Amino acid sequence: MIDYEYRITGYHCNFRNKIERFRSNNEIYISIDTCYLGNGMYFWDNHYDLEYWEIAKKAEAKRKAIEEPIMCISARIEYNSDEIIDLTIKEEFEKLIQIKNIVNNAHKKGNSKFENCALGEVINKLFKSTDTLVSTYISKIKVMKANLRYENIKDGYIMKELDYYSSKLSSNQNLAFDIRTIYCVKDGANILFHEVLREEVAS
Amino acid sequence: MKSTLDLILERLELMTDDEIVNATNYSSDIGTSEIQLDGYFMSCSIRHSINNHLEYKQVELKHSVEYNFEKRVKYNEKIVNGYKTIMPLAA
Repeated sequence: MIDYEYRITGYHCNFRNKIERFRSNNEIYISIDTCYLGNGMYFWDNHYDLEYWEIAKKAEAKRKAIEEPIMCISARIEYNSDEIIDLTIKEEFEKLIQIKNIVNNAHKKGNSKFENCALGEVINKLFKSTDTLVSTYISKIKVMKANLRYENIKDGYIMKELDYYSSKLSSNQNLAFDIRTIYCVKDGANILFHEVLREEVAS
Repeated sequence: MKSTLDLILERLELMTDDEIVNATNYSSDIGTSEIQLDGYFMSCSIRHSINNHLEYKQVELKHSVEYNFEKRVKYNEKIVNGYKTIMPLAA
């Protein structure tokens, strides 16, 4: 049994039919993404954030008249430090932006229609690269991690509390709750379905 | 210790623009389509690259879920190892 350096619990929400195989066989459901961290199965790092995702899924169900139940689940994700690209680290993010610029510039010079790709699309290009070395390097990566800041999470009352307690900290620090950590789990990751937290049909 | 991104950066810096374009012409710009077929539901991911090479993915047949479909895709189909495989004809 491999002793991984990191073991986290991730939280995911989706239509039941999309995650049934993950539930029964630990086969992850790959979402196609071009904006965030590329193709993969996305997880929050705490169950409170599932509510945000649930609301979005309910809206989608209503819009598309989907009657499939919406399921909130948790999973155990394990990885080693050389199997993650951690974009919460400034230096790693800067390197990815350098890569993005190199790839985009090459496509721009070649009059490719894929110039100025979003971050997720560039990540997908790396994972699908036909260059042997790039493919070898990127294939080690099983997890990508990033922080998202939500501008709409700014409740007036609690912001005052945050400001008050932040004023007690060092002048360059603030308490914050509008930052969310997401994980994008790639094919081949060591991940185990854990439990169904709740399931309901969107009304 | 070099990270994966360090190694990729080093590699890209040694490649010509043409080599980079050729090695990174994958695109997922069509996204995910949901297709209803003979009362069954399936979800498939259809992608194409700059040279119009079409990829397809094996998808499991799901039973009788009523969906509204926003996108229609022409396709060929066949059964492979118990899975229905969709081969798109046109992007």
